[in-house]
Amino acid sequence: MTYQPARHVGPFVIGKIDTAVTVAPTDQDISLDVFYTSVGTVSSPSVSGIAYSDGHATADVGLPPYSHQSPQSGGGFGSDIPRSLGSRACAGSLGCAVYSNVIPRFRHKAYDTDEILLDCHVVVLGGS
Amino acid sequence: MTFFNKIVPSGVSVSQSTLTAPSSIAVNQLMPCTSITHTGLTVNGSGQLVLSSGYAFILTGSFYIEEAAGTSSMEASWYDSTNTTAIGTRLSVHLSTSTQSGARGSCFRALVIPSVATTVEARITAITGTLSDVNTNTLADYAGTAWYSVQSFTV
Repeated sequence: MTYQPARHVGPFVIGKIDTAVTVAPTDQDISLDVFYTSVGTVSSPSVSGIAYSDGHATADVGLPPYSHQSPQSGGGFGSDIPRSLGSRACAGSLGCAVYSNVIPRFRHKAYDTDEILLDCHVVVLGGS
Repeated sequence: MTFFNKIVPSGVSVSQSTLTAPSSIAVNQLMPCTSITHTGLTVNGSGQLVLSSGYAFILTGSFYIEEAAGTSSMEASWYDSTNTTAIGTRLSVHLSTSTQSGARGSCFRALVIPSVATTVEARITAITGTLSDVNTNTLADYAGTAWYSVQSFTV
């Protein structure tokens, strides 16, 4: 067995969706495709700290997309909805949650038939 | 085999919870923070954060508004009640003319390094038009939830 030197990944992780995803209108965790740290990309890191999420939804059925998102199901949810008709909330707010030894992911619920997620990401700042 | 050693700054604490509706929708009203358990910080009965010395605090908040009718907006920031001054960045959210619409923005933030126990709150600093709800979502849960977070470090 060969041991490599410990890699210091630094006090932050950024997880990002790189491949567009079509989601059904149910609450679900979306896996992140790539994780960036101060020593480069890592695979499925288990992290603790404060996490902020930001989403980007596009419509594929001709209706304004609207959804909410958070780093995990128990967190504060941001929304991603364009300014459109009455009785619709508007776009662009962050989600927030505290992670405790979990792999970062993107908690999402779409309220339209299908939506495509691209560039959605989670930033985790290390903490306990 | 490769070992990863994630560096976590010493003495870091993080928390996240909700911002609730003010007692009235008016300038200088506070949006109460729900209670959290966080080293060096307590939440008093009014929903204000009481910050202890010996720590640096990064406070972040995100509110939600709904309008009754017409163009409206709201601005908020963290407010140091002990020293009676607004602190950090402000968040301003605008709604165009539309009945019963809701809106979110990004967030408002502040860095606080108190030398003595200091009370801060999430405060409404400006309102235009007529708002029907603040931090209470009557439309649908796709508008998300109003929240705040605290990240602190020992200094």
